[in-house]
Amino acid sequence: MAVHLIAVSVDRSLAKLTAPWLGDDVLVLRKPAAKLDDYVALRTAWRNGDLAETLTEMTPVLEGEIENANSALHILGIDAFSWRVGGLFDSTLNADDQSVAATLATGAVLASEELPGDALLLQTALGEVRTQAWPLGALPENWLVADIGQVSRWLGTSEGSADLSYVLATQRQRQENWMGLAERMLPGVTAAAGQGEPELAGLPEGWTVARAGSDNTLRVFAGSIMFNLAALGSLSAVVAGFLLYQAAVVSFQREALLRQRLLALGVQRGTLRALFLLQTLIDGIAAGALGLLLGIALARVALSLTSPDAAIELTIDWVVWAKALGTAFLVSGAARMLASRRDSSVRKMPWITAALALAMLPGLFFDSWGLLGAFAGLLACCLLAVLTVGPGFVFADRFSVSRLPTIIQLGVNQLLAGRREMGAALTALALAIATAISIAVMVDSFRTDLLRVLDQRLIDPVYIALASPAEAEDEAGAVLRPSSVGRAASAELRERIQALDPDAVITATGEAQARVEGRRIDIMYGPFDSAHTRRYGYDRDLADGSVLANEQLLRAFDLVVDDALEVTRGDRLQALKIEGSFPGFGDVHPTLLVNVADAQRLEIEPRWSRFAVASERADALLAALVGDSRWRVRDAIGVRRSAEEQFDQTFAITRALTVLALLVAGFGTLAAMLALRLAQARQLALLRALGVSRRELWLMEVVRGLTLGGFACALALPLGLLMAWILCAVINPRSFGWMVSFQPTPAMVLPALAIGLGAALAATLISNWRAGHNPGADTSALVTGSGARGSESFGGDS
Amino acid sequence: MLEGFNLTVAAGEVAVLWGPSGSGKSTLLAAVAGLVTIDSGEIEIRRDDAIVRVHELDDDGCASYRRSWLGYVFQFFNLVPTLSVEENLRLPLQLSSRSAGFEQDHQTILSLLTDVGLADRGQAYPAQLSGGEQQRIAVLRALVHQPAVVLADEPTGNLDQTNADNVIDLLMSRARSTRSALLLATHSERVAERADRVIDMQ
Amino acid sequence: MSGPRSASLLCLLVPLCLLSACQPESDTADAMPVTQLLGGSGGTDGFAVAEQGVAIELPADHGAHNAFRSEWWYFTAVLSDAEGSPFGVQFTIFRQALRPPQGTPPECDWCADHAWLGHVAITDVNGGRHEHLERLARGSPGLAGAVAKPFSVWVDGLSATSVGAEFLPLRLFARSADVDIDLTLDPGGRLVLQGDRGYSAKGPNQASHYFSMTRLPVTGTLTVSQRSHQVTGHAWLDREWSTSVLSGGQRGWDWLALSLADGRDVMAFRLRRADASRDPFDQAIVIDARNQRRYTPEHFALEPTRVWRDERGASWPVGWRLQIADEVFHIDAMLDDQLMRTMVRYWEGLVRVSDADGTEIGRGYLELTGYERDAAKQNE
Repeated sequence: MAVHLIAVSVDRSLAKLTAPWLGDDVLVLRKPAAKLDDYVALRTAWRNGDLAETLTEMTPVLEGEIENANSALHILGIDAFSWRVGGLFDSTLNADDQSVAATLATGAVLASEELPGDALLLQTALGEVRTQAWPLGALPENWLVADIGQVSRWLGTSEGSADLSYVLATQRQRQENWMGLAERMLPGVTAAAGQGEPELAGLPEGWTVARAGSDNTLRVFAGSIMFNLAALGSLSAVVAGFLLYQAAVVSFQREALLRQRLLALGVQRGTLRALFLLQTLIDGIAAGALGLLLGIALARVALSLTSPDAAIELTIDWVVWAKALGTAFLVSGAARMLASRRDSSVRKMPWITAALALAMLPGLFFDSWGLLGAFAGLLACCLLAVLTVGPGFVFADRFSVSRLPTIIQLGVNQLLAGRREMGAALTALALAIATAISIAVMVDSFRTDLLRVLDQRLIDPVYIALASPAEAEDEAGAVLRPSSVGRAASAELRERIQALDPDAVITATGEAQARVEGRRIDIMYGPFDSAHTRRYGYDRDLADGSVLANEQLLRAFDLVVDDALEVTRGDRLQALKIEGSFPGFGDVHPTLLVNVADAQRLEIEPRWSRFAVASERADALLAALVGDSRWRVRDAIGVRRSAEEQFDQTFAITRALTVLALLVAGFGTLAAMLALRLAQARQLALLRALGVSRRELWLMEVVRGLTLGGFACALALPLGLLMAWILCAVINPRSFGWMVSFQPTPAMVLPALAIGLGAALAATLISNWRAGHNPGADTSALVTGSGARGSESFGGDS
Repeated sequence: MLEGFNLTVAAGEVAVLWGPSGSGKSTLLAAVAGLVTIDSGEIEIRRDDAIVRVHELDDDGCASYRRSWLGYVFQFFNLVPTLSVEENLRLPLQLSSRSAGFEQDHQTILSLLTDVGLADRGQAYPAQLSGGEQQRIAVLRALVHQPAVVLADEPTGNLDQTNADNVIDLLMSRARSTRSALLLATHSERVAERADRVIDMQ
Repeated sequence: MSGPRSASLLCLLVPLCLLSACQPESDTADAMPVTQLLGGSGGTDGFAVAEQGVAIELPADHGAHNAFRSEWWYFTAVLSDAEGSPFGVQFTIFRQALRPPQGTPPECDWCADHAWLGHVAITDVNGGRHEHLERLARGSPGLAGAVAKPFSVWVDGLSATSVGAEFLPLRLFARSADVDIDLTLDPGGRLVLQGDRGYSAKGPNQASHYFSMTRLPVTGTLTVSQRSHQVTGHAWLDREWSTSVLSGGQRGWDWLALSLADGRDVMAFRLRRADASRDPFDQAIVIDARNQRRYTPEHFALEPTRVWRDERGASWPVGWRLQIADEVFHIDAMLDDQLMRTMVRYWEGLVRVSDADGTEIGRGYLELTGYERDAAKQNE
C-alpha cells in the first residue's frame, strides 16, 4: 500500500508538469507537410462516417516557438471552434472561473502561470506584438495557447497555403473503463502493458496515427518507475502469501482433531466452512486495515525523505481501501484454501506452477511483451526457483548426516523433517534475500555506470546553465517577468568569462526538439569537435550529416550505429547517419547530438543555453559568477555529488522496500520456527529425556536456523543474480530505454546474504527464547502419556 | 504424592512397581530419572565405584546422568520419529560417548536388530513399524548403551498379549544380561509374576 | 419576417461574435464588443446595411453577403413517410462576421473573417423523438462557406448543395450518429419577397434583405435513432441577411410558417416586448397562388393557448391561436419537446394547424425564442 500511495502521489505531481491534452484517449494524426485541404478531407471523412466511429472530436494544431524578450516560448495554435479535444478546454481559468474555450475565442492568449499576464510581449513575424495572456495552471512551463489563425500569422506561415503540425482527436475507448480501473489499482500498468499502436479505420492516405500519451515520454517514464515500484511492493504480498499458507497448514493440523470431533457431534460441514470463511474475513479486514495504516505511515516517511520540501498529499479513496482489503482477502483466502486442501489437487500445484512459469518465461525474450512481460518473466524465474525447494529438501534428506556430530545431525535432521512447516518460510526468506541481492546488484551496477559516464562527461571544472524565466529574480527578490535571459545573458556570460580568464575554453550547447517518425526527440546541438564528442565516447569531430544517438533513441526506433534516420522539424526534413551511441541515463527523451550546421539545416536558430568552461582559474570564475539569478553555476565536483545524491535519494525507496521484504520474511521465519517447535515439542521432550541438555538443545536449534538460512542463501544467490541480470538487461531497457551493465561484486551480494542468514538466526533465537524451556512440563507428558498415540509422527512425512 | 518410600534395586535385578493408575508409579520413575524433583529424600545410583546422587543434580547434571546412566522405555512415543531405526539406536551411544565408531556401532546395532528379528528394518522410520516393533526397538534403544538403570513405564500397556510377552521377555533378559537394574511400572499381574521383586504401590 | 429572425440570430450568434480570432493585435478599433451587438441603437461599424430599393437578384443572392454582419439559410420541411407517419426537418446554416469587411482577403487560410453555425433537427412524431445536432466552424476554405453558383453552403459536413447548375434541385445533407438526412428539394415552389420587394424593416433603423421560397417539393431519406425512413413533403426556405441590431425592450419572439391544405401559406410573428405591449413591427402574411397579403398588428392576433415546461423550468407555449382577419387557426405542436438544446436554446418544431372545429387543415413550423431568459428572470 505504501508503494501504491507513493506511485499515485508521483503520478499526480507529474500530471501537473505535463500538457493535459496528452491523455490516453487523445490521438495524434500526422501527415507530412499537411495543408488545410488535407485537414478538410480528414474532417469530412470523419463527419461522413468514413473514419472509425469511436472518434468524438478533432482539432487542427499548429505548433511552434515564439520569442518573448529573447527567451523561447512554445506556442500551440488550436481551432477555437473545435476546442473540446483533450479535456484542456473543459477546465476553467484560475482567476475568474471563466471557461477556457470562451477566453480563447475572444482572441486572448492562454499562458502558463509564470508568464506575465498583463503585457506579454512577443516577437512575431508581424513584428513586436503586445497581448494579454490569461494564466492557465494546466499548461506546462513556457507554453502559450492561442487560436490557430492567430498563431499562423504570428509564426509567419500565412504565406501560401496554410500549415498545420498535426491533428488532435479524442477517441472513445472501448476498454477505457477497464484500463482506467486497472491503472487506478496498479499505477503504471498501462504504461507497462503498452497499449499497442492505435488503429483508425478509414484514415485517408498519408496520415499516421499515434497516441498523444506516447509523446509524453515523461509520463511513460514515470509509468515505468511506478510499475517497477509496484512490482517490488507486490513482493511483500507474495511473501506474505507463502507465510500465511504455512501458518494455515499448521493451524489446520492443530484444528483437525477439533473439526473431526465437531463433525462427530453433528456440526454440519457447511457450518465449518462458514467458520473458515469467517476466519478468512477477520484475517482480511484486520490485515487490510492494519496494512493500510502502516502503508500510509511508510509512504509519508518515504516521501518526506525523498522530497523533504514538497507537501505530501496522499489520496485515500475507495480504490486504496479496495486494494488493501482486496489484497488481504485474496492472499489470506488463497493461502487458507490451499492449506485446507491436502489432497491430490495440492499435489498438482507444482505442475500448474511450472506450466504457468514456462508460459511467462518468454516475456524476457520478446521486447514486444513490454514491461509487463519482463516482470512476468522475472516472476517465472522466481516460481521455477521456488519449485526447487521441495525437491531440494528431498535431495538433502538423502544425504546421511549420521557422521556429523550428534547435535548438528539432530539440528539438520529436525529442519529437514519439518519441511511442511519450514518450506514456505524458506521460500519466502529465499525470495526476499534474492530480491535484496538483485536490487543491490542492479542499483550498485547502475551507480557504477552512472559515475563512469559522469567522469567521462565532467572533464571541465565549471558548468553553467541559463536559468529559465521563472527562476530569474531582481535584486529585491522579485521575479523578473520577463527575465533577461537568452541571448543577452549568453553574450554577457561569455564576456565575463573571457574577462576573468582570456584563456578559458567555453564549450556551448543548445537544445531543441524535432521528430522522428512522428515521435518527439530532443536535439542537443553544438560545435561537437573531438574534444567535445570524447565526453560521449566518440573521438572524432562530428561531421555534417552525422549524429550521436542516446540509447533510448536507438531502442525507440529499433536502430543501430551506422543506420540512417530522418529527422523532421516543421516542414524541414533531414537525413542523418548515426555514427555512435552513448548512454542516456536520466534522459527522458530520445536524444541526438547534432553539429551546428545540421541544426541550422533543421532551421534551429542557435541559442546557447549550456556552457562547459575549461579554465585554470575555475575557482575565481565560480566565485564571480555564482549568485546571478540568470544562470546556475556548478563545479564538476558539485555536479557529480549532486548526481550521486539524487541517485541515492531515488533508490532510497527501493532499498527500503527490500529491507521491508526481508523484515516480512524474517517474521515469517520466526513464525515458522515457533510452529515447528510446537510440532516437534514431544520430540524435543524425548531428547531431553534421553539426556540432551538444554544447552545442547539450544545449539541444535541454532544449527537448524543456520541450516535454514544457509539453504535460503544457497537458493537466493543464483536466483538473485539472475534477477539482477534481468533488471539490468531487460527491465531497465524496457522501462527507461537504457541498459545497465551487470557488474556483481561480493560487496553487493554479501550484505543481503548476511541479513538473510541473520534473520534466520534471529528467528531461531527468538523462538527459542519465546518457547522457554520447561523440561518437566514437556517430559511429564511423555511420562504420563497424556494425549499421545503410539504411531503418531510429526514432520516426518516426505 | 509419595511419602515414606524406600526402595533398593540391585544391578541385574528386575523390580516391578505394581499398582493401579494414579498410585505413583510413573512419578517414582520420573523422580529416579531426574525428570521431577523430590521435596525430600535421596535417590542414589551406584555403579562400581561411581555414585550419582540424583536429588542433588541440577538440570545439566540430570541430562548428563540420563544420557550415561539411564535407559528409559515409555508406554508411548519412544522413538524419535525423524530418525531411522538405526539412528534411534545410535543416538544413546553418541550421547553417552560410548560410541565405538560409526562402523562398529553399525555392527552392534545390526546384531541387536537381528536378535529381535528386525535386521532388515534398520533404515525404516518409526512410522513404518508396528506398535510391537516400535517397543522392541525402544527396549533396545534403552539398553544399547548398557546403562546402570533401566526405567520402563507401562511398556506393554499399548500392546496385545503376544507382543507384550515378547517385549517383556526382551526387556528382562537384556536387563539381566547387561546387569542393569530394571525398575518396571505396570498394572499387569502377568508381568508382575515374572519379576524378581514386586513393590505394591497401593 | 425579419426582426425576430435577426434577434434570434443574434441570440444564437452571441457566442460566435466572441470568436473573433484574427483581430489585429495592435488595432483594437476593429474588435467587436458584445454590447454593440446585443443592444444599442445601431452602429453598423463598417458593415453594409439593408437599403430600400435594392432588388433581390437570383441566383447571385443565394450566395453569401459578406459585407453584412449576419445571414442564414433556413430550411424547414413538413414530411411524411409511405405509411403517413409525420416527420419534420429543420436545417439551418448561419453566418456571422467576426469583423467588418477589410477590403482585402484574409491573410491566411486559418484567418477566417466569419464564423459558421449549423443546426439540424429531425422530429419523429410517432416515435416521440426529436434529435438535433449543432456544428460550429471557422470560415476557412473547405470547413465552412457559401457559393452562389452553382449554389452550395456548408459547415463542417452539413451542406445544402444544388444538384445541377440551377439552384433547384438542391440536396440537403447531414450525417451523424443520431441524425442523418439526405433530402432533395425540387423546383415548383413559390418565391416570396418579404417586406417591400425583399427589403424588410425591423425597426425604425433596422432592416434586412429577406426572401422565402415556400412549398418546395421534397423527397429523400432521413435516419433518426438508427431507423431510416423514405419521406416526401414540402419545404420552406428563408433567406435573410442584415447588419441590424436588436431594438431595445425586446425579449424574444414567436414565429409561425404554415402550409395549408387549401394551397395557402401563412406566416406570422409576434415580438414579445418587456412591457407586454404589441410591437408595431409584428407581421402576418398570407400567400396563395396569385396574391400575397400582408397584415399589420391591428389585423391579426397571435395568442398562446398551451405551454410545455422544459427540464429547467422554462415554459414554452406550444399551442397557439392565430386570428387573421376573420379566420382563426389553432396551432399545436405535434411533439411538445422539440427544444433545440444548443449553444442558445430555442424551440423549433413541427405543428399541426386545425380549424375551429378541430379538423386538421395544414402543418407547419413554429419557432419560439427568449423563453429561457424569462425563466431565468423569474428565478432571480
